[in-house]
Amino acid sequence: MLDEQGKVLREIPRKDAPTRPLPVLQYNEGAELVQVDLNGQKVWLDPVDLRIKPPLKIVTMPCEKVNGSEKGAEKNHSTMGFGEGCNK
Amino acid sequence: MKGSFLALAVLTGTTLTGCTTFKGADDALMNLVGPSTQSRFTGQYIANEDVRSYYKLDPQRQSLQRLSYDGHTIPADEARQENIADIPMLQTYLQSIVVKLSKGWPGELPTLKVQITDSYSFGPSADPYGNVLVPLGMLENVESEDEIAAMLGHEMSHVLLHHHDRTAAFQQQKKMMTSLASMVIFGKAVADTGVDRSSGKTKFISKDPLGTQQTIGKTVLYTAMFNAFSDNVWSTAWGRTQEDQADLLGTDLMIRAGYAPRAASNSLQRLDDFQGKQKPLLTSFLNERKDAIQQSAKQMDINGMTKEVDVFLKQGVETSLKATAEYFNRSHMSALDRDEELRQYVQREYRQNRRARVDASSWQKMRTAAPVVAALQGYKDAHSASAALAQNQPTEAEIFIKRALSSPVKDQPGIRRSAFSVHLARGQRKEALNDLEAIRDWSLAGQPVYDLKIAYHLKNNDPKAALSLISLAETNLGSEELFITEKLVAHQQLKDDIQVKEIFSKCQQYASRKDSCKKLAPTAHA
Repeated sequence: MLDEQGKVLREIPRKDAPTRPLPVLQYNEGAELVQVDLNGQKVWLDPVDLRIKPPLKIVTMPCEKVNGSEKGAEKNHSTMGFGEGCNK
Repeated sequence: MKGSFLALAVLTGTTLTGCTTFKGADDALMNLVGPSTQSRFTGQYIANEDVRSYYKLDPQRQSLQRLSYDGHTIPADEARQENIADIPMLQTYLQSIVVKLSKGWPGELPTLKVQITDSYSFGPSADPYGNVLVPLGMLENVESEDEIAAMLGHEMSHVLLHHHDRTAAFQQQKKMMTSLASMVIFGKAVADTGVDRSSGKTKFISKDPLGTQQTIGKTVLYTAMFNAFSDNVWSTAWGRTQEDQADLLGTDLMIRAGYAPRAASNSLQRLDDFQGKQKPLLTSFLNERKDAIQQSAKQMDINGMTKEVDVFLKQGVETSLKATAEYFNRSHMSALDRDEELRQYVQREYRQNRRARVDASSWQKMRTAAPVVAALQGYKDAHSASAALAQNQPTEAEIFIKRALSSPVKDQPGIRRSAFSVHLARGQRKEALNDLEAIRDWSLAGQPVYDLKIAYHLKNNDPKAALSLISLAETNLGSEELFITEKLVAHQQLKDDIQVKEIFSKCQQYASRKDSCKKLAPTAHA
């Protein structure tokens, strides 16, 4: 648990972490913090400890909208990529 | 026939373990059946014994790679397809990040060179020669230098850890499988062939046409299945191990360079968003077969594994082999799974760094610098023009391409390639040809742009111009194979019989080109 500046207030043991998804009340993009309601208390958490859906970090042009020839089909076979191709 | 397949499988299994290029295959097996990559070692990955073995560069290996690149011997399907976007300020900035990351590598460094490509795909890539290709689509989406460092660190790691050897090894194995299949087919055909002299002339006949046909059919099918298994299961499992390793080493390098590790997680989330959702169609089929394959693999039970692969692929053929393989590939290479593993690693090894904040300021400054903004906008307009054309909106395409052609990057191949398509679609043939003429620096062009202009010269009976461009392509793309058939045609047009014979003879070295050369110059080998 962090304060609104991102300073650590205290650690929550994994066993005490909520098991059901919680709604995000606020997202402070600059400080990289999200606020949730934990047992009636509004607290700030670091996204690095969380899995947020839909994700905070997205792309402006998903693979399916990229022109056909750029989806990876025309890539040279000798390269190794960070991750290529569309799933759809 | 089942026996033949088993023999092929066992033989290949022996080769897998016996060949030095298959270094890492054991890790792939672990990846298929065992615990995660990051849990298989302690401490930081960069200091791990396996990684230490790459600290020292092998000078012979380096010189072979250079020879390959400069000596025109890159296979045609490995030549660069994308065009390079020449944006010097941005290129220098990206190269400086690579230099910064390189300082964290305790070993000797190979040459690493960043090049920006005109693709709007998200993921960067690296080739075995140390070229790190950064697509414009990546730069369009990242928000900080830390994120760029995470992705470049990952690509550098593929080069540092010699990961490209896997691709070479699998290609080698594929060729071996194909030639084994050819031998089976040839052997069966010879055994079943008889001679009929009853008509007074010698005539070859097949004594068992149905049997021969069945053998050929099964051999081809099993070879295709085995290669599909290699590509989509084994190679993917191995590939995933390598992605994990590149994630781990890339993270070590970025943290040593002072970047925030959370950026690696950010870029993997973006990759997941870029790739889109999985198709749910084949989930149950895969889950059913996966356990059985894993069980056999765990016990190194080749027969059991072969049987399972057989079932997997036969059913896969029925339910569409391509879709099954694609699904396996994607689910196994899930960006979110990689993110999960990486978070655990950072939690374990870099607890004090994991909450470090990314610094978006340096990247914001770079992306808003006037020359960079103008160049990026030019490429974006060209991309929008191509997209509009693909949606059958030629008027919109023309508006976008006019804007791209007024940008400072207007004479670069990526822009002119889009302009060529738009002008051609509008019936403006002269303008389209002018687009190809306007390209200033052909060292930036990828194969498709060379294709267009060389074909144009040959069609217009201008073999000298075609040969001059082919020579540029050979130098810039490092492949003689790529345009060898066009080279043959150009010399035919020049009626230079000596060169035709010489090129024809060279062409015979290239399996995928030699038939075309024979058709083009049927008398050259007489």
